[in-house]
Amino acid sequence: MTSRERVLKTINHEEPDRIPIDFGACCWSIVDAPNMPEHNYLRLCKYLGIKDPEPPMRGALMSEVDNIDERVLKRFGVDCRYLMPGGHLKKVEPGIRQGDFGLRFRQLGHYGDPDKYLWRDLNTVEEIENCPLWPDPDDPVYIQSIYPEGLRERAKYLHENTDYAIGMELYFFGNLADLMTMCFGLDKWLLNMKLNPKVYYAFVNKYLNVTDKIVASILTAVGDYIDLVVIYNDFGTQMSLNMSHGDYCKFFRPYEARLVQRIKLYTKAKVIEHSCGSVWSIIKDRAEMGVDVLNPLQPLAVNMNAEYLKKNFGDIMCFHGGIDIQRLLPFGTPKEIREEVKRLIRIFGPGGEWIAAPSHNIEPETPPENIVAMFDALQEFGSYPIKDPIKL
Amino acid sequence: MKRQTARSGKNKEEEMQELEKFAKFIETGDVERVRSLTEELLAKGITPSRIVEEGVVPGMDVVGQKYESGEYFLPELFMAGEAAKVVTAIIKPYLKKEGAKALGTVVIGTVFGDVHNVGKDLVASTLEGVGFKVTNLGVNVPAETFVEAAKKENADIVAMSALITTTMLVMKDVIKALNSGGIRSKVKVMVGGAPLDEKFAKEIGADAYGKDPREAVLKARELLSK
Repeated sequence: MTSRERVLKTINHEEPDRIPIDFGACCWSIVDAPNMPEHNYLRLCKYLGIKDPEPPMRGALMSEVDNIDERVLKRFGVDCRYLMPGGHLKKVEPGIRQGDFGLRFRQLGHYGDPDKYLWRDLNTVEEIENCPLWPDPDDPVYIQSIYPEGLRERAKYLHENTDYAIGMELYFFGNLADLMTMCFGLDKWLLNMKLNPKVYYAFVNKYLNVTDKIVASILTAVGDYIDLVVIYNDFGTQMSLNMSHGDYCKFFRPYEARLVQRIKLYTKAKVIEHSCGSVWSIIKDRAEMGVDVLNPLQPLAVNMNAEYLKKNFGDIMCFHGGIDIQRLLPFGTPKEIREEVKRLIRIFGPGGEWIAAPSHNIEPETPPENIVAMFDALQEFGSYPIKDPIKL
Repeated sequence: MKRQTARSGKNKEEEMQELEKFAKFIETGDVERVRSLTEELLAKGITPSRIVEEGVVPGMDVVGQKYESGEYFLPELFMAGEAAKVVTAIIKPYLKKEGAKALGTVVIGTVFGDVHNVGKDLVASTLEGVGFKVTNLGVNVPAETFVEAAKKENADIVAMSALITTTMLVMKDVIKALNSGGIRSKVKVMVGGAPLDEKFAKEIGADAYGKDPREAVLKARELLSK
């Protein structure tokens, strides 16, 4: 069975030959922390005996490595590969990069952090609609800068010449919740939603209208060659959803549904939604709107552990992620990690529905032997039929 | 005499009812009603610190409880915070007019590497509202900045907030910097933030831990009465 078949079969709620594995194709990989004495990612490569890895390309926000060395991916049995779109962040001042929607990032410790919220002081419908920071979907130069020429050819090449499941993300064209957080600040967009809804609706409506065209042009180009499209909408804290379920249905769900459904107009690729936090209460909603796979399954968040998710939602949703990066991976022992992976296989594995991956970026403190223990355990114990499946 | 007592008793009861109503508006994040009622209460002679202690703090208490029980979520928390901010903005000139001596001076910030500010701002507003002089250093505050500000403001209390398990460890650096800056013995250190607890506060050598704005006020007062 090829990697692509393995991934698609599991998403189809069927058991493949073994549990598929991802690392960096969809939703995050490993934080490369340039301010640490020894780069985390390079330390991993060295540990694996890879002396000459390609210099890491770091994502602006989370400093994750976007170009994990192929030898690392093969060693770890990874079934997915990342189709990297063009960059669209430019250095505008020392230490500040700015991109679409006027998002500005500065380096804060390991991560990029919003430097200023350029939409925060816009308080009327007119100010929102006339804001000069909206991308121009009719500008071919702009479209090419974010999804450059050659992307279609690369997608085609990967599709026709490899057996991997190809994943691509839509950046802020498939991300509404986090975009609003970075444009307005989390507090401001939630306050707009409740106290100044006209402004809230003006933003979300214009966002969809502007980005409909952008998404159409990207997916028309690559849609036949990719297997997984990644969108992002972080929506939970460690304890609960960001807002009440009622508010979610009223203010956010219809727009999220459009994010998902417009992808399906242009590609048969499966939709993976990244959504940090305790988001169990909206899994059914997301299944109804067409999300195929949920990531990252932050297991220490309320009701996001394997047992709860598989038991309550396994028949309607597939899962990507789930191996804890908050405590287990950085602070556990290789033996503990191996045992936990075995346990997760017994819970998540039956019936397919799980693409195994870390539950977010692997943090810089994580020892390389722990990372290896995780991927080795997945390969060693992940074959079907699952031994001693846990009945839920 | 008796009539006066009866009238002042009725006034007191009315005041209590008004403050309870006020607390309810804080709880529901009704910014406009909070704004108009603050002005009304001040005009009736109710002191700013009473408005905060008997209006804002009880309202925020209920918000905290409802958030923990899952009835309230982030929007409700932010709305209540907005309402509390409105109160602080309105009563500030009245506090200055009163000329009351500040209960103490607090320097407060979110530690370096952390940009969470909601809880910290609520604590800052509440401390200010009850009569502390508060310098809010903002977020992502390096240890040296805490020390410089504490020296500049002649602070009684250095208050730190962190909301992530990695950044809470940075609080140790701040305490170390207060030591090497020669002012640790002159200030009390108070800490707060979701991943923290009393045990952690003790381990790092802080003087107090406050889990919400109400506790922050209680502990701040306690620390300065010792």
